[in-house]
Amino acid sequence: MGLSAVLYAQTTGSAGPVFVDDIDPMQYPRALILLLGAMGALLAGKGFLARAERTDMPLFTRHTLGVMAVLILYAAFFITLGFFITSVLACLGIALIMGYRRLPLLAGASVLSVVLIWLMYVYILRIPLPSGSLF
Amino acid sequence: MLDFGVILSNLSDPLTLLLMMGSASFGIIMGAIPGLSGTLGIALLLPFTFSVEPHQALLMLGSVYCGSEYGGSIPAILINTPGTAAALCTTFDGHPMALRGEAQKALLTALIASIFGGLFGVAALLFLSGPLADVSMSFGAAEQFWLCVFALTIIASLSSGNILKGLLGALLGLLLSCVGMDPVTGMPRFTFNTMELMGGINVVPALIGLFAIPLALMLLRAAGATSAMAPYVKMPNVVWNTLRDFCKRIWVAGVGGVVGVIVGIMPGAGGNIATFVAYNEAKRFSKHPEKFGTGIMEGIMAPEVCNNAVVGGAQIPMLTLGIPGSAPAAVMLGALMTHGLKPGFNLFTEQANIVYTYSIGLILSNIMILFLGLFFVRVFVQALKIPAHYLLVSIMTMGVVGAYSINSSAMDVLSMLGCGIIGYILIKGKFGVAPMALGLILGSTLEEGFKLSLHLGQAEGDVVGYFFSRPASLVLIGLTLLSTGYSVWKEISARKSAKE
Repeated sequence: MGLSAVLYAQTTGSAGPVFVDDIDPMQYPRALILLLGAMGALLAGKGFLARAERTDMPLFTRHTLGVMAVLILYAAFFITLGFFITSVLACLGIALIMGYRRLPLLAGASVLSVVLIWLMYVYILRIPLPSGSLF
Repeated sequence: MLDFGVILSNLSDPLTLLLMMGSASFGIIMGAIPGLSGTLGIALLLPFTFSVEPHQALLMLGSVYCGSEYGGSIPAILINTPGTAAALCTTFDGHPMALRGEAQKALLTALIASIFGGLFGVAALLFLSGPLADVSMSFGAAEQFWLCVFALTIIASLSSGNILKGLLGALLGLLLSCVGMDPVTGMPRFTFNTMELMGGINVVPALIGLFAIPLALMLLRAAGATSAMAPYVKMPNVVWNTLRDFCKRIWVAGVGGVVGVIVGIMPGAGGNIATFVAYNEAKRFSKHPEKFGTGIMEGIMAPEVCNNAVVGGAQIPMLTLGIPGSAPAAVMLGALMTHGLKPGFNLFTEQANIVYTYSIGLILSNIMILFLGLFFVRVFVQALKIPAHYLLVSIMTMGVVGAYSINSSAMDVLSMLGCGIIGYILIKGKFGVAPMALGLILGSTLEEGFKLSLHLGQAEGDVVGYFFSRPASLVLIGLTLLSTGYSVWKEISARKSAKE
């Protein structure tokens, strides 16, 4: 419901159709947003009436948040710093978060797998990967 | 003039056979890498076809197309990540089957179904080109809209237990497909004044995110386990047993094949929509629809037969009318023209030997994929032995690189991650990601069909008539009502029997 309110606010700033006989480009998303809000309200209503379900598993653990942070940093610096360095660092970061501490083995496996992916994309598939400022 | 001697000589040429085998292998690999696709494979191979004969060029590209449709099922089954958008439905039953330790059987089912679908599509291409091309000509914007609405009825199947949550997920997907320029007026929507969002959310990176990232995060929770899946149990005579089980369920393959050919010949529909329709129809006709989604053969057979039957179906309007039925067929149309072949009536008379060499050659290509697939199954099944932490890192790296490789765009990587986090939250909230993926895939086609129909209806002075009185539209509306009515009836009877 909150999401639909935010999205609906986004549609109000639209300039509307360019020509008189055009359909307003925001009309279709607006209809979807209203439906989303209505169904959200229905689901919330059902939730209030239903018996609360207990779960011991939290939505985000320290590990999942850590991996998500590594992934966001990876995506953010992937192009500016380059594929090779960021990929190796991301692999090492994720493995360390997961609790693996055999650094030499981890570093070797990370470098080898990143080199293999790089060779496959650049030489076999001819798809350039970003080299960035550090490669 | 059609000369079977020339066709036979073309197809027995060792160089042609070698080129087909190499292209089919390339296609399987392209399909199996999330983010890459048959369309990209055909485009990459196109420059290599300039120096060969036109029939060899067409067979090379056709083999890549067939191979990639099969290849997409491999990561769908093993790591719950569809290699191509058309393999999305294969994850529903393929991955649960792999989790049970039956990965080899799931992969073999996908292989046999792919070959069956491929041959079904080629048979349609050979025998139904003429009559079906006429039907596809009656397909306009209204039919495109109703086909999407019909495909959306699968939400009832995908969201077993809570249709409301399924509908909410699908609405999120439909809304996500609105990001970017309006399909008719070109006005920007939800772009937050950024140029990168003007082109909209790319479907393939979003699908990689929705399916790969939640799986990787789930693996994280199971850290310490040696693998994401139960180790596969080597079954004696697994090939023959799978073939026997496949034959017992041949009706599912029939449903998938018919849906694949029909949707394939409809311009712009493609395998992505077809597989959803086929999965839903197979589930509806099944005596045990409740077992779909738990890892049964029928759930792999329907989408895999269907997406390979689309290959033949999509080429019918391409060869006869010059209208491609899918994205790879559109690239193939370019290749056809590069080699000086003009689609249409003349192609089937003046260049008949080339066209029929190609059509019959696709049968050989599918048989080659069968043998190549048997080899690849043994290789890919080894992926199950990879420890969970390596698998997690590989999925994430391949996901990021796969998303980037499509358009060399950082926005694709970010949208992949964004969709991944949304997907993880949806799974934790028991919404599931499949309805959202369905909404995202169908969204732009649905909106375009709706708005074009409105405009055309206004131009004709009868909007309601344009939507509701065309014969093909009426058939699709009837099917939608039947599908919805059946789902409602099933839900009511299930509740009644639960009370009793």
